[in-house]
Amino acid sequence: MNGRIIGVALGLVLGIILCLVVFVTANKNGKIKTEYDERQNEIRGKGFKYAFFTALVMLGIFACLDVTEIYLPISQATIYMFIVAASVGVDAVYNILNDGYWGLNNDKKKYEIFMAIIGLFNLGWSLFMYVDGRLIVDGVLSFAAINLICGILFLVLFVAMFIKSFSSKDDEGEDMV
Amino acid sequence: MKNLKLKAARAGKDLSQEELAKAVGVSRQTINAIEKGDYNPTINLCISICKVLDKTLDELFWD
Repeated sequence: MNGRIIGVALGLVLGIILCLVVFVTANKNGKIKTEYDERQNEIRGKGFKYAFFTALVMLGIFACLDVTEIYLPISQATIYMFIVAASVGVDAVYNILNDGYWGLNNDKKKYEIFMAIIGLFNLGWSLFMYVDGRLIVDGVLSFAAINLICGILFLVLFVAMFIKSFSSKDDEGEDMV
Repeated sequence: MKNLKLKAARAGKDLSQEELAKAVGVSRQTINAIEKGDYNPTINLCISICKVLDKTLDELFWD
């Protein structure tokens, strides 16, 4: 049990350090904090609102399922992470489609590379866990599915960015007078 | 409603949306949204834009 706690704590610390390294490397001015302008902050506010309601609705649904004793073949911790990923996904996709995702000091290309690496790593790791028989244990989707959820989340973000890259081509033409 | 006065003033200064955006500390998309009339900027941003383009608030943001 102690080993498990140490492992989780170590994972969290490494995750935070990795995030800090990514932020410092991928932000043009070397700052950890991403800067947004007033319009982006307004959009991000709406994104947070939709993410909040997504989490609220999903928590309500899973609570109802629990009360009615309808049990899904998914571990409890995976359900929590699924709710987190869904709300993060809603927030991020809304921001991407409305130009509120990339901050003023973000190096978009570097972030995209980091995101692709992290996304592919998660998908690859979940495939390894599946082959190893640790993704589905006794017919229940185990906590190892967190990598699959993360991988799918990054995939969704890339699809949103791909869609946005097409719709924003019209805007670029407006630059000329 | 499109802000053609802003667009004309920017062109008069020979600035692209990107250059104006950098000068006032916002994203290019924000300048584009103001010109297209999709976003109402705060008074602080209006003042910043006016200073960069050497115009008054009336000249750029008053019908």
